[in-house]
Amino acid sequence: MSDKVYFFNRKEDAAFLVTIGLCVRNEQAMIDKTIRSIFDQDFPRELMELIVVDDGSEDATLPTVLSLVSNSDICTAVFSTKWRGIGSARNKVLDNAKGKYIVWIDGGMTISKDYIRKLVKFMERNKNVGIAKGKCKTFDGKTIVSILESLQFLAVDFRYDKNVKNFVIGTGGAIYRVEALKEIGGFDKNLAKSGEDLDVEYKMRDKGWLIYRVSSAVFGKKHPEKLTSAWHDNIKYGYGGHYLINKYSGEILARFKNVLVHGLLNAKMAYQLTYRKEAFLLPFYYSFMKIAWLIGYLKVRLAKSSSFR
Amino acid sequence: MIIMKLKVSIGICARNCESFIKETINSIAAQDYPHNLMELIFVDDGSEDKTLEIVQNCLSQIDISSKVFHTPWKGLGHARNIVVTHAKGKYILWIDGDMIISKNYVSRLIDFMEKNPRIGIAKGKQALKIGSSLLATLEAYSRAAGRMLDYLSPKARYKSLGTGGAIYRKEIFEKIGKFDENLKGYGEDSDIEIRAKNAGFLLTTVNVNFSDFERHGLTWKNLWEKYWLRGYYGYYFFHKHKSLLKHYRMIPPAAFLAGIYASFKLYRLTGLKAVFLIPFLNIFKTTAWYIGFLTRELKKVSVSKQSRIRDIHLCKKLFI
Repeated sequence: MSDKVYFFNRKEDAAFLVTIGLCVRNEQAMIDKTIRSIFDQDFPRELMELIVVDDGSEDATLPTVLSLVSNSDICTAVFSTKWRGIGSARNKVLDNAKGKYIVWIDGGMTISKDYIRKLVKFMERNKNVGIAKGKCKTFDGKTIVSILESLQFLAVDFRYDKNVKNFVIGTGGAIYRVEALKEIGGFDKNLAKSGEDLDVEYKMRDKGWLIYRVSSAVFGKKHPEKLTSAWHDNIKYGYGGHYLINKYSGEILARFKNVLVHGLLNAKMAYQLTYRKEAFLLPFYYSFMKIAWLIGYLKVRLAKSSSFR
Repeated sequence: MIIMKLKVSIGICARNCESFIKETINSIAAQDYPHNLMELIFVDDGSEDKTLEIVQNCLSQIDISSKVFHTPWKGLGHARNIVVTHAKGKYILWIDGDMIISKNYVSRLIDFMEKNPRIGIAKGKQALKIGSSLLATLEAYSRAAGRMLDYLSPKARYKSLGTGGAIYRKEIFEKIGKFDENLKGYGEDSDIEIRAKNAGFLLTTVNVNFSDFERHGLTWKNLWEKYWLRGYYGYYFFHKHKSLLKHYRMIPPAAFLAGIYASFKLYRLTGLKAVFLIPFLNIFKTTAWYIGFLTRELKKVSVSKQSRIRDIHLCKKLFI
């Protein structure tokens, strides 16, 4: 199948301040809420455009997006491509973005009403910041896994506040300066499943851009509810990790040496913030997920070596 | 390695045509021309029905790369300009949302255009097919008869080919500019054809068939509305090209005589006796056209009258 593009309310040669990049794949359950939260922004509509990349969905994601978008007055482009991976999808947004900034929204996310306004204000004031991201809303989980995930996000958000120096803040919900992103040559298209954020943040820090967390902007995220889905997510991160370790040999491995220490620190922070006893399960959860990561990593490694042979 | 360059951009400008669009897109997907040399640009000019949904569904099944634009209603001229802006092919083929083209349509037209570099605009011929009702058949026949002439002869100077089904050389738009966006419903084709002719391009028809929306059947009401709208939007066109103003062609008695001429031609071709009703059909159509035209003319008068009254009020306020 060849690529299809859908444009809504297109304005030729218009300059926007913000491009909202929404890269989705099989997200029909949450896409409705995500797009509505974008439409409800209090940011001026003439200054923002929406670019949706549907990366080879097989469910009703694309029709849902189109029917929602056709009723709005925001300038929108919807790309429907066959699956090429998250790196290529994000590059597609970058190539077509007319804005000065790109806000990345993922499928399972919702953003608060003032999210874009606050992030843009922050970026306009701090010219040396390349990436900024808000904070994740806490406790929208019902099962123990989603509670642990959200506790973990909470702890991490508080541990790596303001100027984030040696931690990956992730792409979903982050605002990127297009100028900075173009300087490093966009995303790596080989990172098809995960890890494209880590790669970009690495390169940006090298070029001297700062990465910040903005505490006042809040977004919501759908955490995995079952252990199996969390497990699969981490296997996916392992896939990306394999490529990254080859790319930056060794530097990243350092992060996985002190998994248990990480878990304990996060648990302490989460307990201090919420007084929930579940927080002490975090170290175990952490090490469990890193096993999944390792399995994902080894899978690629073994597949590579066998094909090589 | 030979890099295949995109040859033709197919532009579909449609509005509220949920019942026809599927057939149209399928007839494009069935073309025998290589699909990787075609691109499809669909402009949905403010549809309020399910057109967009159906288009999305159809496009997901075909392997022609496509772009779809959805805008609030701004008129046909604007919609066609979107296609011109985004077309990357050497040619632009215009298809209407209710047309069906025969399987070799694209390949024949492109073949013809490649061989005749002086031709700027070419179009296929309307198929002489019996429609689902007598009225539909007659309408299709009379439209076909209207285009049965040699467009290269000087006699056909003011005859319009129409945009639906026509292939345009992209360089036309580089030379003479784009469509006139004030021509919202009708007349954008005649306007650009006149400008193309003045720039030295030739127009002609090619012997390959398409069929228009009449195949779906037609009611008297549809026909009336269609020609009323043509008259209504034709108003701007007639005022733009004052030298080409040919009111007498649209006067019902003149149309009757033209109808008689056309019906003899059609009878010789098809042997259908019903074609002798075409003169009467022409009277009906041109009446609708004139009423539409006059409605627009009167509206302008009433607007100017209103403004005059407002001026008088203003004067009164100022001076008394």
